[in-house]
Amino acid sequence: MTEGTMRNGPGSGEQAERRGRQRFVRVFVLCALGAFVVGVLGRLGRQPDYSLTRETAIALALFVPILFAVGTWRLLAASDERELRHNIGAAVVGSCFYGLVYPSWLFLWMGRLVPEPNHYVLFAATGIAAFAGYLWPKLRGF
Amino acid sequence: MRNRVKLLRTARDWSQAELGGRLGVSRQAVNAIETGKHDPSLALAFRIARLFGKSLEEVFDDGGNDA
Repeated sequence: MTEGTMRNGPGSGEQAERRGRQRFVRVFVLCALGAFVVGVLGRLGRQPDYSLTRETAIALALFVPILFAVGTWRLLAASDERELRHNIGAAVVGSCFYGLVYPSWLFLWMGRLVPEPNHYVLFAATGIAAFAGYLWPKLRGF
Repeated sequence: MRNRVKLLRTARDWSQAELGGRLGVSRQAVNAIETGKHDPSLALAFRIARLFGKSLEEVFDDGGNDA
């Protein structure tokens, strides 16, 4: 019987596949932990008027881009080409969503038809759109 | 694109995870390739063919589409 068969238990390939999956999950959990730290820092540094202390603002302005850049780099390094394709698709969906929604909202606001574009809403909606673009091919098995 | 990956894999009695590990991709990627839902990159297609000791044309078939 060959090495790594379905009957003989995990072979070298299965072990390598499991290590790759664990590496991906490890990086994902670290990123989620980083996002949690951002949330805690934002909460701790918040003032009664909902602004941030100067120190917290600087710390978050430095920490969030670094977390995003390093996290993305490590996640993509731990991804295979299918995962990479899904991530690129998600980035395209998110970018297109922002590019479609923001100008429309801006022009409608300039025409005094709607309230001023809200940064939080735009950021969150873009993230949700990108996540939907990421999940869509996964749910269809692509 | 049609391919014979599943046939070649099962002939060796390998699981999808086993093949994925040998190719450096996930089990889900192998499944998507086998079911024709994911066309592998040229580099991965060559790795697959080499792993099974076959030529690219023996593993993958685009149906004679020259376009």
